[in-house]
Amino acid sequence: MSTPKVEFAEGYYEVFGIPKINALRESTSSTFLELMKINIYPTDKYLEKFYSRLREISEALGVKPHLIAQLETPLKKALRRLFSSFPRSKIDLNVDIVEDIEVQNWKLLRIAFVVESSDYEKLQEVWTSVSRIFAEETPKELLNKYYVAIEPGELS
Amino acid sequence: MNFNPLAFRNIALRISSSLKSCRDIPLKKKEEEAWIRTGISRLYYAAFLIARDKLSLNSYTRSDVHKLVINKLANIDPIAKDKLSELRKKRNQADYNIRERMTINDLLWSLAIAEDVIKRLLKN
Repeated sequence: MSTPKVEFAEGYYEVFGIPKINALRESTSSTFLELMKINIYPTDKYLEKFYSRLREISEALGVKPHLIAQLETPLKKALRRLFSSFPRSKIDLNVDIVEDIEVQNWKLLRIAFVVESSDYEKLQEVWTSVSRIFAEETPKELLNKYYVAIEPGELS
Repeated sequence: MNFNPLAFRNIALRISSSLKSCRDIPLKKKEEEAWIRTGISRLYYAAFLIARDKLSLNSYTRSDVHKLVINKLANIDPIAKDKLSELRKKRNQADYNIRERMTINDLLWSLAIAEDVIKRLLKN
């Protein structure tokens, strides 16, 4: 039996640590891939990249940097909520600007968590709590500048 | 309201169940995506029209009513605001973006979003 091939997304951290990973990589365990999925989390380095992208995009939207900085706390709380609800799933973070095709000058910052799951009911439930976290922790003047979304990622 | 926007949700529901069971709608393979896109678009309008009514904005007829509804929703139900914003993104994709393929999963996910938004709006 060949060793399952696993590719790591840049910026992700393996909780097991490199020596353990290498030991697992050499093993022929069929649960190897499963083990890896459980243990990938965005690191501070990954989040820093994300924040920097967030600041860059927000400036284009005309949002003041001190307001954007206030998204960092709810973002971390949201990630904790997501990882506790989907401990076996890969979770990615995306940020972009959504420009409406029909309404002039309507642009929104979209913060999306892409969760590798097809349990739509559970995804909706977690989305509700993630949205609540953001709504409670961000200033009112930001509410009309951004929105938070959850997307079901493709399952391999 | 003379017309009940839930009828749009029901149409989308019928499209999704027909696509899953290959019954009811006389489907040609090449039309499948058109049905999917139609369903997604109707789902947005079902949720949007219910929200507009709830916010007493039925007489507001300018094209920026979509922005107005979502902005006002932010103050009374930020969760519904997030989900309706995403549904609008899906609807714009369904009606305008023909480069990217849309699948039954897009319709089912949009249905899940719309059901949740509508439930929240009708409850409060």
